[in-house]
Amino acid sequence: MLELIDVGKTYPKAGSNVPAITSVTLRVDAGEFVAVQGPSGAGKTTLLLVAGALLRPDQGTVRVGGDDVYQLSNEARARLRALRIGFVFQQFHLIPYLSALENILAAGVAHGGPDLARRAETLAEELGLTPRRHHLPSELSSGERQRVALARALLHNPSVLLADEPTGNLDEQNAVMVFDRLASFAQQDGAVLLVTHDKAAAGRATRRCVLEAGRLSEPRP
Amino acid sequence: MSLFRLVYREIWFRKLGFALGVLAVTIAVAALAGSLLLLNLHDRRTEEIVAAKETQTQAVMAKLEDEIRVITKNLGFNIRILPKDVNLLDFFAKDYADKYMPEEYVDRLANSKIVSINHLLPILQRKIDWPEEKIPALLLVGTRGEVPILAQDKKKAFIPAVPKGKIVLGNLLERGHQPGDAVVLHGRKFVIHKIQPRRGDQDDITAWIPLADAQEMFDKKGLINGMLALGCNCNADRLSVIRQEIMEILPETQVEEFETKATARAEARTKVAEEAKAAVAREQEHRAELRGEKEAFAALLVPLTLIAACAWVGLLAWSNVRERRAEIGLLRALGLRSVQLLTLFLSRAVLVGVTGAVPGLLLGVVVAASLGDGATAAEPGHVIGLLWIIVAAPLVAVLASWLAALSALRHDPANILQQETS
Ligand SMILES: Nc1ncnc2c1ncn2[C@@H]1O[C@H](COP(=O)(O)OP(=O)(O)OP(=O)(O)O)[C@@H](O)[C@H]1O
Ligand SMILES: [Mg+2]
Repeated sequence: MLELIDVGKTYPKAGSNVPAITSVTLRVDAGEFVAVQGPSGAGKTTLLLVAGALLRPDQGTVRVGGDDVYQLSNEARARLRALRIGFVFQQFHLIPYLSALENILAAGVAHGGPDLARRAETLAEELGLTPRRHHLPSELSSGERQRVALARALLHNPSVLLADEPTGNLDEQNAVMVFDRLASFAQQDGAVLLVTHDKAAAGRATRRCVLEAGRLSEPRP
Repeated sequence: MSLFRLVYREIWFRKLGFALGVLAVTIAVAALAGSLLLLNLHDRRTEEIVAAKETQTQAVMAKLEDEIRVITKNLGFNIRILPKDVNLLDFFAKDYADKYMPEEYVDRLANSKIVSINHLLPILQRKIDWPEEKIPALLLVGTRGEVPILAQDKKKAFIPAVPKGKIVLGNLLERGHQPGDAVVLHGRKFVIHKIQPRRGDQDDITAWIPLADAQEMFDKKGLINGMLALGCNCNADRLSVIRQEIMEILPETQVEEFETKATARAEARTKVAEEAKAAVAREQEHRAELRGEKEAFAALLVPLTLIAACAWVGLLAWSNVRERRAEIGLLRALGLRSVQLLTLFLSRAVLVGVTGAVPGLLLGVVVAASLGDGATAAEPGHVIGLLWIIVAAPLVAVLASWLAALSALRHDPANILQQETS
């Protein structure tokens, strides 16, 4: 479903170039929940942005559902992000002037679709947001905000869900709720790639990798 | 959810920023519309004032013209055309010329393109006695009435011909007769056509008969011994102009001018007309000066407010884009295309323009009405003519926000999300 082959990304910096990820090869199939664990600065976010069709790598190939992501036109890549990839960030990234429900629907601005409104309501219901659905992000708790972000990522029912430290700002109860949802997404034949520095979080995945200084390794079970 | 709902919700959320942009547009549009309207009001007021002045002048002129007609009718002409060889000493001693010229001369003048004289009157006159009425001396004038000058507009003839077989008597020749009475003059029978009112001059001892009768009585068939005309009031040196014109057509004549009340009044009239014209011109000049001042003020105010408003709207758009960096990164991650992102920011600019332009136009109308020349109201047509501003304002706002919107496109979503997450 998601495939990274020999991917490398170096940030150009005055003086010395910083290699963020080096020769990463990773495959996440439908139904898999893969956690990439690594310390701060290891290149986790970089890996996720490259996988999410937002950051062109210097080297290697990224495929989503068979499409070579960075060979696509800008237009087609934007469409791919809109319809086939869902993002969840540590900082939630909710739009401050939209209500919870509208934030979920914001995923439909770039590409509309049939019945998105009803699907948004269903997702809100599923994630326990119905009583809060008309509140602005500033009126929501961190856990509620992350659930809104999760619902937004799921609106178009993407094939790949990318999560960057999604529970970093949450208490345990909310963290569990988010992980449960990621796991159930994988069980429904989705591909989940979670990056985190948290060992415990990585424990929820079906498969675990370690990213260190930009290099990915898979510990033997 | 549509892009426009996003625009609308954002504006509602950041009311202050939006309102500041709208305010700038309102002020700029008010300055522009107000200035244009003020100048328009000024022009219309000028037209009114000048038209009023002109009407007034025309009324005065018409009255003068009437007076002149009346006076001229009584006092006759001011140009006398005599045969060339008439000795003026004799003429003034005898009150008539003893030399003759063909009657056909009058037709020659009448058929010419002469402009310096009008109201042409051929006469054959002589001083005679009237034995039948025991009057020792009277001036007998034969005339065939006024001959119109073809090249000129036909003016009302003020000397009618004396009808055949009739006589018109000066006041002192009345001798107990009344119009309709028959009299005999040197054996010739006439019926009194009219007795003139007393004029206190030679007219009182003058009798008028048809020219043909006079020519028969004096045995001067086809001849006349003078023509009278009314000279133009064209300029100070008119006599030489008149002389030159007549000499070119009738070289065998001489031209004399004599002062009458008519000429005096004509001169006065010319002077009044000139003064009235000058007054209108002065008023126009004064109004033009005022307009110049207003124009100069508008020429400074309008571009200044326009530039300031553009800069302000552009700056606000820029700060709006900066403020929404995270949102831009997110929307990109959600698959928003460049065109959609541009639409997001530019439609906001359009709304700033439209929302500012409508009250700006109203404000401009109100300000212009309160500052304008009181009596004149704004013309609805002209206000409607200003509606283009409501179209132009959003376009200008879009241009002012253009760079800011482009900068939103240049924001790299990966960069934004990287910074925001780590
Ligand atoms: N835009 C950038 N320009 C230059 N260097 C960058 C940029 N973004 C990241 N880096 C560097 O690349 C390396 C990897 O960064 P990245 O954000 O991927 O790490 P991370 O594993 O997500 O860290 P954290 O756990 O703290 O979020 C770091 O050394 C970082 O300093
Ligand atoms: Mg990170």
